[in-house]
This record gives sequence, C-alpha cells and structure tokens, in this order.
Amino acid sequence: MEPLRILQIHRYSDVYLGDFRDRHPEVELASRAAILNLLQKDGHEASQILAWHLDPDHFDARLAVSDFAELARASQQETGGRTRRRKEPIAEQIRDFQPDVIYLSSPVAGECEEISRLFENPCLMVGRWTPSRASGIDWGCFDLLVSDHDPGRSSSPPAVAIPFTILPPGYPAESFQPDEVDSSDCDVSCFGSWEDPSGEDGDRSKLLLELAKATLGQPREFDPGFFIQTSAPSSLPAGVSMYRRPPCFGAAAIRAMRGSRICVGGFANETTSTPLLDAVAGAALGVFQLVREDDSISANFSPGAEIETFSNTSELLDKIIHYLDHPEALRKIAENGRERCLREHTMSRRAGAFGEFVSREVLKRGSEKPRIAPPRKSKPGKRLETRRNKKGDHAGPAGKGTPKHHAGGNPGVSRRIKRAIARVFTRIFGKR
Amino acid sequence: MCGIAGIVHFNSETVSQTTLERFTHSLAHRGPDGWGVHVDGQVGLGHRRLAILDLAESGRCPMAYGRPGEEERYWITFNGEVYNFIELRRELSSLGHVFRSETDTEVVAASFAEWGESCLFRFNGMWAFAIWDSRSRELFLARDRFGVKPLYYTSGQRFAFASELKAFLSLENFVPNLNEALAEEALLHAQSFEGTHEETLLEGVHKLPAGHFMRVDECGKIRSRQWWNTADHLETPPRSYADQVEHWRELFLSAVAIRMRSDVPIGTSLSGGLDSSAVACAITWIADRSSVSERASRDWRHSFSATFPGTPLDESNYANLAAEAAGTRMHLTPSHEPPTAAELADSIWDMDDLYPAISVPVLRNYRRMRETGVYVSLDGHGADELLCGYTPWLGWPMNEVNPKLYDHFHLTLLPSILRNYDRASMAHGIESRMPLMDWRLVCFSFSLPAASKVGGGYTKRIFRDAVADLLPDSLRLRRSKIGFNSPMPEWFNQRLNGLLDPVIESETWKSTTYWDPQQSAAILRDRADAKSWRQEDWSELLKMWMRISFVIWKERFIHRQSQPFALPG
Repeated sequence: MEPLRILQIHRYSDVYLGDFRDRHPEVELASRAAILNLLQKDGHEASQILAWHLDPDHFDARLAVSDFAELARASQQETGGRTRRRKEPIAEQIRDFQPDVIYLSSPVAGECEEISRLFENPCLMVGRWTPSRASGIDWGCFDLLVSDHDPGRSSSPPAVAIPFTILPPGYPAESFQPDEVDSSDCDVSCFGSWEDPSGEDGDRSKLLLELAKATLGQPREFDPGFFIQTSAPSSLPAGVSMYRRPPCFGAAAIRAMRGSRICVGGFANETTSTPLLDAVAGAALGVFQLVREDDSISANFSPGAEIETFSNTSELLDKIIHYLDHPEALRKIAENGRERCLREHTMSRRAGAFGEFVSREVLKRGSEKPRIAPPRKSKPGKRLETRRNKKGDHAGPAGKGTPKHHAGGNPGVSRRIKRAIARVFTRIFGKR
Repeated sequence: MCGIAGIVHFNSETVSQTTLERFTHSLAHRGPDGWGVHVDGQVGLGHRRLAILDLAESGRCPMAYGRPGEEERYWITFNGEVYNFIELRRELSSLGHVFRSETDTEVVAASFAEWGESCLFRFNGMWAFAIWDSRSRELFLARDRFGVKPLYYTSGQRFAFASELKAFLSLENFVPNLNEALAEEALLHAQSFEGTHEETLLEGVHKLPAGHFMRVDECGKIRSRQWWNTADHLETPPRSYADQVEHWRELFLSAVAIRMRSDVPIGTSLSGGLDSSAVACAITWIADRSSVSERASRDWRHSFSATFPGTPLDESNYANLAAEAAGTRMHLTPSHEPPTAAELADSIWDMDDLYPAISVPVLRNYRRMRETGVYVSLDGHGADELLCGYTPWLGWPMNEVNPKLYDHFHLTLLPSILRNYDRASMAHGIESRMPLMDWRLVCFSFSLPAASKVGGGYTKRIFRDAVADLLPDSLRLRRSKIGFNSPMPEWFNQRLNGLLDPVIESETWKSTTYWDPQQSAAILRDRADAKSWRQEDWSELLKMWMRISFVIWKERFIHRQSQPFALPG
C-alpha cells in the first residue's frame, strides 16, 4: 500500500537564510539531501517542519523550501532540469513527487493560488493559518487549515468555513542534547524581533526597555542579552541597544539560549509562532524560561515546577534575581521542563495530529474528483530527460505521453489515492 | 576660584568705595583668603579671593596688568581657573609679556592684552571674569564655554555684576523684586530653567549665558555675543572603537593631570560611582607614574564622601572601595540624620536659587573638606550628560541620543547642576574642578557615535573601557545608578526637623498663587503624620521641596528676612 504523499513547502525568512549561508558556505555546492540535513540540524523553526516527523509507515513526506536558491540549484541538478525562475524548483518537485497533499507551512499571499494554477487538478491544499492581519492571504484558497493559534481568541479569524485543526505543540527535543552548550556571558536572554512598542506586538519591546532600565536600579546586578532583529537599529531605544547582541538563528540561537541562565519568553511573533510553541522549544532544549503568564502555558506545563511565569515587570525582576541566586532550583525546573517535552510535547505527537487530520479529510473526499499534477508540455524537438522514481528505477520519460499524467482524470493516481484512503481507513478503524 | 563683583556708572558718577566693598564682601564665603577693590572713576571692580595658585600677595585681585610701557592698563577681577596657564605663559613670554605673579589670573589678563576676545579660545578651564581696559574705557566680561562659573548682571542707570544673586541684595539702591513671570516657570521646570533663561528670579538681574562675552562702556553701551558653540568644534573621530577609546583615555588623563595644578592640597568628592571613582584613580595613576604636570599638587591623597547609612541612597561601600583603589584617605560625612531646620533653611540661602534637591549633604561634604584643609576638589560632573548616564534616557531612540545629550549638556540639565555645585562648593570656599568638562573631551565626546556611548551592556561605554586599567571592575562595571540625593522620604516623614510647619503656616506660603497652598499643606501634614512618604514618591517630594524652598528663598531674597521663621535648634 502506498503511503499518502505529502509535500510540505516551507518558506524561511531571507534574514535566516542569509545567516544560514554565512554559517554554512558549503551549501553553495552541497547536494539537496546534504542541505536539507543541515537545515534539520540547524533547528530553525523546527516545530514547523512536520515532514521530517510524519510516520513513514503511513506517509511519504518531503520538504521543499521556497526561495532558497542553493537548494533549488541542488534540486535542479538532481532532476536534470534547468532553473529559469526561483518558483520552478517547487513546480518541478511537485511534478516529480506527485503529492497527494501540499502543505504550505508558511504561506504568503497568492502562493496557494499560484500553486493551484500550475496544474489542472491540483491535489489537496493545506495551509498553516496565522492571525496576522498583514498577510493578505486568501485562506479560502485552501482545502484545509491547521494552526498553532486558536481562531476563537483572535481578532481576525479566518473568514471561511474550512476544516480547521489546532496542532498540539511539539519540538524535536531528542535532536538537541543538553551538553551541546556554548558558553555565554549572559545571565538573562531574550530573542525575537523588535516591534514598535505602541503597536499590537509591542509588549516584548516595552518589557525589554523596562528590563534594561531596571538593571540600572538593581543592587543585585545581572547581564541581559537581547538577541534582537531589527531593520532599523538606529531607532532602537538606547537601553535595548545597550544590551543588544547580534541576532542569531538556528543552532547559533540554540547555543546562545542554552548559554544564558534565564531565557525570558512569551512574546512570540504571531506570524511564525505562539508563546506556547516558543515555551515548548525552550523547555525541550533544557533552557530555564521565564515566560509571560498564559492559559496555554499553564495547561501544558506546571508553573513553578517545569517553567516559570510572570505577569508584570516587577515580578519578572524578582524572579530573575531569585533564580540567579538559586541556581539549583533553576536547573531543576529546566530539567523538569525538558522531561515534560520528551514525554508529551514531541514532534511525533504534533506531526501525528497533523497526519490524522489530513488523512481524515482525505477520507471524506474519497468520492470527489482526485487531484493530480499533469506534466509540463515540452517544446517540440526537445529531448526529454528521463526521471527516476524514489526507488531509482526509470519510470519512463517525464512529461507528455506518460499514462499517469493524462489531464482530466488519472486512473493511476486515483488508484493510489484510493489505496492511501484504504490504508488510512484501516489505520483509523482497524481491519474489517 | 573666588567671588567677583563690579559696578559701572553711566552717569559719570564715581563708584563709591564703600558701596563696592559692601557689594564685594557679600561674596566673602567664595573667597575667604583675601579681598580687594579697584576704583577708576565710574568703574569699580571687587574681588574675594580663594587662593589656589600663588598664595602670595602678588596674586591678589583685582590685578593690574599691562605690557611694558603700559603698566596697569588692564584691571582684572577673575573667578575660576585656566589650567593651561603655564603653557600660555610660556607663549606670552616669548611674545614679550612680563609676569609679576605665578597666577593664572595674570596670564588671562596678558592673553586678553595680546589676543583680545579671541584669547577665550585658548583657555582650558572655567571662568567668569571682567577686565577693565582703562585706555579704551571699556569693560570686557566673559564666561567659560559651558557656564561652570557664574556671572550675573543688572543694568539701567548703572551696570553691576557679581558671582551670585545674593550679592545684589547688598548693592546700594537695589530693590529686590520677584520676577513673577519667571517664578512659575522656575517652579515647574527647575532643572531646565537655568540653562534656558537669561532672566533670574530677581527682577532686573540677568545671567550672562555660558560661552558668551559682553562689552560695557562708560556711556551705557552694552553688547554681548556668543563666542563658543560646541557644534562648531566637533571633529572626525577614529573609525575603530578601540582607537576612539584610546583617544578618549588620553584626553581624560590630560584633563585630570592639568587639573592637579595647585599650590594647595587637592582631593576628590567620591560617591562610589564610576565618574568620581575614575577621577580619583586617575589622579593616583598620574601621580604614581610621575606624569604629574608642572605645579601639580603634591598633597592629593584625600577623598570625601557624604554617606547615608541605613537608607537606599547609601553608597559608602563603593566609596570606600574607590578610596582604597585610589590609595586616598577617606573622610566620610554621615548625612542620613535630618539636618536641623536652621541648616535646611540656610541651605536655600547658600544655593542662591531654586534647586530640586535638598543640598545639605553636598554642603556638609564641602564644609568637611574645608575643615580638613583641602581647598580643591576634583569632581566627576558632566559624564552622565556627555555619555548618556541616566536611566530614563535609555528610552531615547539611538538616533536621538546625541542630539538629546547635546541639549541636556548645554541647556536643559547640566547648567543647573553646575550652578548647584558652584554654590555648594563656594559656600565653604572650595574650588570644584571638573575634568570631564574639559572642552577637548567634550568636543571629542560629542563627535562620537551614540553606539560608542551606549552599548556592550553599559551606559558611558567608552568611559568604562578607557579606564579599564585604572580602577577595579567592581567599580568600573557597576551598573546601578543611585545618584547623589538626600533621603527626602525619611526627612519629610520627620517634618524636616521642625522646618515644615513654620513654612506652611507662613503668610508667604498661604498667599502663594503658584500652587494650592491649603491642599499642599494638608498633604505635607497628613503624610508626615502618617510617616507615609516613600522612595516611590520621589517626584512628589521634589515638587513639595521646590515649594518649601521657594517660600524660604522669597523670605530671604525678596523680603530680606535673615531669619524668617522661628525654628527649633
């Protein structure tokens, strides 16, 4: 039985990719597999990359990365094609992989529509919904929506009636061992991007400034480090700038976080994360965290035992001083938090929830017209390259003429979908 | 450092020696070591001397100076110090000038004789002086670049100038009236008032702004002009931060070294903060390496600190650490107990103007210095305003740090602090010198990018890095900023030791229109009864102290009551 094919398309920020390239210049020539391996080890936005954690017995999941030139180059080299546009590799990967499900885990405006337009009968489109009003995304383009945010608590929930599920938090804790720590001279760290303090996401910014000012009034001194991204460093308040460290990402951010004694969190950028997801990531890495009080935090961690929370700056300062003076208590809470993550807040649980949701929806759509990806028509006289399936066997010339790629219906794909549906049915309901 | 005064009659009337002496002696506290007056018809100059350089009679002021052949053309009355006087003297000697004293005062006069008003650019120091040119019959007055030394004047039928407001109360036919229009402004913006207004609380009395000079002739023509604008003297700093640090350090050490020039013992006022600790340790570093400049005091191992044991303001542990690092003998003046009502009331007279703080601890510290035989104090003022040292300023966007520092340094904050420390130190005949106000260091600091001042985890970043080998890290990297203040909550809870009730029950308080006297009185009484004033009430306390000190000031300066209240003790 063939597993359900899921292609996750993720988009990392240009800032992150630039930093990644600086730290890994070898990606310029590395293979696709090697680059993906480096990305996985780097751990940036690890909670979002579900493709790496879907059960291989039931899912054939791959990751594609948008707008990553080096990966596109590597993909092209492996498929023998030529890249004319940066979007081409994604289309090539879709055509090559023939996914049943495309999951856009960091969609941008128009992306769903564009991918859908690439094919006459696109497969199931799943999107990750975030409440950011500025995204300009038409969520109605998707067949399914998953999210880390609760639309009921958002001021701008998706205005469409589409099957929706909230994923449980998770982080690949097992991938990062506690002893991989780089030393840091920072007592208290904070990570993220600088937002206008008067804006909707300005809470962290206000807190950073209050924390900076408070260090000048404390008899018990400590060293903050603000690993803050901003496109306008000259407009940062002096207090924040004073403690600013170069922003870091991926493995470097993990090292910096674990190198600080306390990480202050709870101010996730809502387009990329949630306070809970960030807290899970920090706890999974064995970091002692002081996070802003939130129902989701107390529902998933035991405050005071697995994580610490604060409700105002005064309480934050008191707890910073307390835990800096009580390192054993700090260590114990961090340890408990990691253990909770290893037990419950795992990527297999998170990816499993995604898989079940998608499978269920695929089942419901069993009677609907299947979604297929037809081949691109080649130019007259152009010799078509052969392509290999994942087993390495020749599967015939790509493109026109391949029985699997008739427009208007494809018994082959349909059979595959049906087999996948049957497999899912069996998994959920057991053998008949 | 001294007190100066002078009168110019515009109606051909000769200046009365008696009037001039009385006017001058009102500044006796600024110059306990001697005095002098000089009358030349319509013009009279007076001087109270605090002898720091050349203690002999030849250093007496007003001092005559003239090139060979025109002796006694110029008469100078001088308050301040020009620290590079030795270098200027050499240059002037090579140009034919002959000196009879070893003072900087004579060098200033000779410089004026040689270069005219452009001599001001050659001076490195602090000053307020008047030079009478008996040939051109014109009086030239000038203040230093940043207004470290004061100069007030009034004009009308006559022109009169003096170092402090209180001097005018001794000026014949001067009737003190409150500048009503300014009083409310001063109460609301006491900190920024000093640098942003030429008028004073005494109607008709003005201050010569910092970085200005003035020319007055016997006919009544008065012209003043700004001679110094820091923004015209900025430089291109080194590109690398390390080179900036190195250059800043050189300037700082040079500034300290030339301020060690003294014929009397010198000391430091230590708070335990970075600024004063660095100055104290720099003195030691310079002296230990035989880098002392010519005429540097050989008696410098003195540190003084007002402490507040048992209060949140106490920094005595840090102050002791600094004295130990500098190798100086520490003289502590515990000031946590509330001063007597009389001492509080007298502090208003000493401070000469309104200031949003109780200045008794500062006054006591300088008095202790005088009693110990130390007459010069090297202090750390200016660094916070140069290098962004205050906590509330951390909210400024980085691209506004330099412009805002510039304003606070020149206009809206530092001028009132400089006035405060001039009065407090001169009340006890102490010359307060400020290495961090050295014009070369100021210009270089304002040329630096904001990131050189705030960054790497610290305010005053370049200062801390520049003195890395001068003082221990426990002082150098200390972040906590307490500031030198009095334990106002505690003192207010004790009714200012008997001062509170007479003031709020006085007619001056009750008749004021600048605040609601009944409401304020009720708050003061009720909270003192409940002993409920706390550190978090600081802003409110400052406001109340301003009102109390305004009433006392008005009684002393306008109503001319030397003892306006029946005070205990």
